[in-house]
Amino acid sequence: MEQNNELIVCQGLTKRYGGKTALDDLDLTLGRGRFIGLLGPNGSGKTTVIKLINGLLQPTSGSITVDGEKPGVHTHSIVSYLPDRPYLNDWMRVCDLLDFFADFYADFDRVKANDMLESLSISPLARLKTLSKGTKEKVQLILVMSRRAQLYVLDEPIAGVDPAARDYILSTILSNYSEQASVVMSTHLIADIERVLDEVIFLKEGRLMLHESVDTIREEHGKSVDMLFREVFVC
Amino acid sequence: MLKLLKYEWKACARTCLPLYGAVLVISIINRLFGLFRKSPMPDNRWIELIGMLMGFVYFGIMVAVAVVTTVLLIQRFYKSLLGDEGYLMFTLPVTPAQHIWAKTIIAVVMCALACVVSVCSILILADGMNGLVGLGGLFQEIARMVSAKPIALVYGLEAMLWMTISAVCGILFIYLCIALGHLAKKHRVAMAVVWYFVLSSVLQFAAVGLVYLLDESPLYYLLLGWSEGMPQAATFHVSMLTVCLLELIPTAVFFFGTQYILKNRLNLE
Repeated sequence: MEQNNELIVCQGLTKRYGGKTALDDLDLTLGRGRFIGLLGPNGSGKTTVIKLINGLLQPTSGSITVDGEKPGVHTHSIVSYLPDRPYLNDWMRVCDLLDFFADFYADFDRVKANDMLESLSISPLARLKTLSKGTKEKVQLILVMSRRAQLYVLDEPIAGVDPAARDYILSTILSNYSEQASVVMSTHLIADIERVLDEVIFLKEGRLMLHESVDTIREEHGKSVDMLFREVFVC
Repeated sequence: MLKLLKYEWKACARTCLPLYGAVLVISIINRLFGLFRKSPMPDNRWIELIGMLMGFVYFGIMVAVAVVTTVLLIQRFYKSLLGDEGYLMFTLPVTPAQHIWAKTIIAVVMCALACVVSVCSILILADGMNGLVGLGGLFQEIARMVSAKPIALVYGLEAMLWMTISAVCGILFIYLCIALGHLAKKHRVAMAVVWYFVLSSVLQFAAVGLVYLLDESPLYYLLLGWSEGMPQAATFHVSMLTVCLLELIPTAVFFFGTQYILKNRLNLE
């Protein structure tokens, strides 16, 4: 089947929580095979966009499609999502979680997951509740990155881990997505991920401030993404 | 769907099965103390005291069975779908309807198990292991009755069908209230309780109103299973099946209401 090059399309996407507008009239198109940084200060709407992509929030107005469809069974089968919080059952062992992912996701690669667990010295027999916060985050990331998905949506995946593990995680992410797949990653730690980004999205108070390729930013603005971010979001 | 059922069963069984096992063990211990008291042994206050304590423990654990089963039923829906775990469950490639059915089916199984364990426990207390053996005898008696009068099996199946539909209806009603509570901006648990009381009252009024409106109508006679010259067996069948069909109406409303909210109004904030 021919694949549409537009992986995510948002048109007039708006989300309000009561009287507060979290996302305001967002028009955005994201293609395949790109590593995209979703950047902005706290409360800028990054997590809201990510939840809308995954169908965990419903838009107040406007629309969002992933691979041409509204978030649903099809999009869940091609999107691998890492939330910004612990979302796995604490009482389960790591190997039970591998079984769970293998049962529900046809694209889950158990061999790859076991390799990554071994590299980070995490026992598959360990119960999640006995692991530290950082190790739990690593387990979540391993599960998410062991899928051969078309889109990886990662909400703050490196915030809670030490710098050494951060490098490992980034290289894991980079080496585990295929040419046709895209990664959308939200983070505050721009300097850490700048070298891997293809394009960036700046959000401020729910509005799209900038959507450019990293090369364009360097050529036209003559500065790094980190520097531009500090300029745009100066307090 | 089978995979969802498997994981739902695992999540419920790890809490419920040890508790149900404990009920049976404590029933046996209580029975043993009961036998000690009856036996012509010298008066022993310790046995009396421990026996009394075990009686309290038994009462406590029977209450715990009812409370834990009910709380688990609510918690498995609320926390697993509308709490942090919902981030996992609602990003699986399955439909909201499959989630609802998986939770409902396992909840019905857990309720049925709680009932079976309670009955077994009472039989043990009443007549020790003979009680359980008696249960086997009861099944033999039922089998004998069914072979003598096969229609009894149909009566039994109809009664079980009615009880199952009632359980499904009750559970889906609770799920609908939780889902409606989730629509509120804040105090979602409190709002679910409010919805439960409001909808319960509305349904009771509606039921009374329906009986009043249907008085002397053909459906009224169907419910009573009565018709001129109808044999007794047919009367029972008509009455049971009409009740089952009528109960399917609110069951469908509760299911589609919950499904609509989870599909179109889900907001995990």
